[in-house]
Amino acid sequence: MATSNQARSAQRAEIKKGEVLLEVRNLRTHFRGDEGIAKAVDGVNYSVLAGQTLGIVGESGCGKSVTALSILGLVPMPPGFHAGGEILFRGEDLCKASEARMRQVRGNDISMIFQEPMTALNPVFTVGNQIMETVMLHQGFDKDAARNHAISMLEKVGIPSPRQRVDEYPHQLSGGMRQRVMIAMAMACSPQLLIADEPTTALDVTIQAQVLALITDLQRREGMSVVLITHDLGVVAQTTDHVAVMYAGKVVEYGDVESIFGKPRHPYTIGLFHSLPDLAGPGERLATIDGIVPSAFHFPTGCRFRTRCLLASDKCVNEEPALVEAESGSGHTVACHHLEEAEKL
Amino acid sequence: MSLATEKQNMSTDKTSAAAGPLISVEGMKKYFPIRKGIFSRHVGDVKAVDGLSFEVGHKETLSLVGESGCGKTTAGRTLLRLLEPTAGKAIYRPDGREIELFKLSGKKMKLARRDLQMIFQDPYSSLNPRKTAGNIVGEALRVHGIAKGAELEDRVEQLLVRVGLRSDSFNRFAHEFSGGQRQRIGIARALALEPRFIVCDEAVSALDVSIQAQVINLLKDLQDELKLSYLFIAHDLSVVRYLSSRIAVMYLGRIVEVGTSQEVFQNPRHPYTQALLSAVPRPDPKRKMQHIPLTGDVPSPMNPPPGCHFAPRCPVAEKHCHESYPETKQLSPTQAAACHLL
Repeated sequence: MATSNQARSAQRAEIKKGEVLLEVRNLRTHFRGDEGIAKAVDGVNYSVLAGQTLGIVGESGCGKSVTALSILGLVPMPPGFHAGGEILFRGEDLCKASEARMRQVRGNDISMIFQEPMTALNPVFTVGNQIMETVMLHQGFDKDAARNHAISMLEKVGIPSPRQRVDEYPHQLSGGMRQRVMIAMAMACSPQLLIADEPTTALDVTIQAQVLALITDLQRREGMSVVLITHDLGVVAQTTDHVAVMYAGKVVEYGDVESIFGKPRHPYTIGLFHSLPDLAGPGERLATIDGIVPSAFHFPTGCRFRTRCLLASDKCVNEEPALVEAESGSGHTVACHHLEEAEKL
Repeated sequence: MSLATEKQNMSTDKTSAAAGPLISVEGMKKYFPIRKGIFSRHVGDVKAVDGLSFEVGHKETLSLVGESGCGKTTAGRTLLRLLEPTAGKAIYRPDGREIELFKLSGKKMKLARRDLQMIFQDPYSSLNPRKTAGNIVGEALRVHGIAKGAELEDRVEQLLVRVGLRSDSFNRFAHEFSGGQRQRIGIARALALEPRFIVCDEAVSALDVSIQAQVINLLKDLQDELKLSYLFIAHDLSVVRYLSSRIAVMYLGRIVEVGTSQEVFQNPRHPYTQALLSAVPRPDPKRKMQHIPLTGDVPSPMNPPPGCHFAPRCPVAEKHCHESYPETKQLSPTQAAACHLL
């Protein structure tokens, strides 16, 4: 146990804060279905720096969650299949890793928090059992050590009387507490990367604030990186360092949080901001993005947003815009043919 | 036919032009009994709604906000008698008449429900998957005997177009629509009987932001055009701020603060309202949250703590807060809050 921990910390020392921990390159995850092939994730690029938080925003059906599941190798195959691209975690391509290797990575190096804590926890095991399982498997703890570890994890995530709660079942806990248990499970092996898929969407605002504060606090203490998937732009603004905006299986805009919120460039991102009721004055009409997200079976040619975009032209129909820097050296990248016109939106 | 004329008679016999809010609720209570053992002994109550009083004016939107479990949905359902109230009074005033909703017989309540409709939260489970959109929207017209045959189809098509759906949606099934479109079907169904008052129970919560904005705009347009009043039940405070004229904040079955939208957002007086507002993440990375932390969860409505229900989580609670429930204090002509420390 001690040796494995030493080995792990030696490994960790290689990655310094601010260096690239995870890089997703041109990832494509497709699904076979009745209507043909659904290109749920179709050319996603982003990187996560050590010790930082990347926010991924976009509406339902844009491929946020499938990207996350691809990183962990959890996409059911078939019907899903890997159609191209790389997922480099500390330089290792996870797309090529064996199932046995993925099992070592999952829960130990990369772990995940799911949206709905009631369905993600097993109702027939105590919460303690579910936390103990990961540390016994990955870190070789014996039962007593694992139980003590589970209790200390519950304490860390702020669950009152952890000695009693460790023997309780998920149904005995409230929604906020269940999400804390999920976080305790995900954090039990001190992973380097935590993927949180809509961790607070099912929670009330006051509980959401507690859970987000907990994640950022743990991140600061453990130096871990976080990928936060959400559709709530308020949560993104308050908790992330970088933001990737996804639309129809692609990243359409990427940059640091201040430049994305300060000067959104893509017509889709601009549309998202305009439809927020927070930013509208009383009595003002909300701006909307007309139409709906296209189905993954039939994405439009060229730019995928063109069917809902006010600026769409012939070029958008024929040519797919590449993700390029808006101003050189800014690191703020956008995929749009009409950047200058978009500034006037 | 007979019902339709009865409705007309009801609306022509104006007893007085006395103005008043469209809906007034006084001391509404809804308890769910807890029964145990083979004799189903009554061992206690879940006090989901415990003495609510509020008013909704003509063409006004009153929002009920609060966390899950505070009783806001139960309040909306009890008001329309989808759940039978345990106690209290609800008065509906169409055209200067007064109708006591909780005293109406089943038949009369059915008639009153033409004016009082509801839009449900989950557009996936609130539409029958085995019926077409046309059937769902037309059902109320048929049940109330208002239209049938070609006339019914005409009216349903008009309604579908009015809420922004294509008129050929009539023969499509609910599962063929997206979430936003389903919510539009739910809205068309509520509008079919030309109501005056609609309870919108988390009507936009399940939708993505861009679709949510479309539906919010639709609700606003309909309000202006058809002179509707809304009771808007929600937990998303930014939507509430945008839509409501007045806001009532609920905690554990009771209203703790009420005021105009501006009063509640600019100058919240109850510590719970303050904490709730401070927890909303702002879409601005430069203004970090000044979050007032609340410890613990909402207590069970089965055994609410003695004294102020919020006291166990309140950051400023004093000893007497744990002893007696505070009275509601009027802070301005429109704002009131129930707190010992005001």
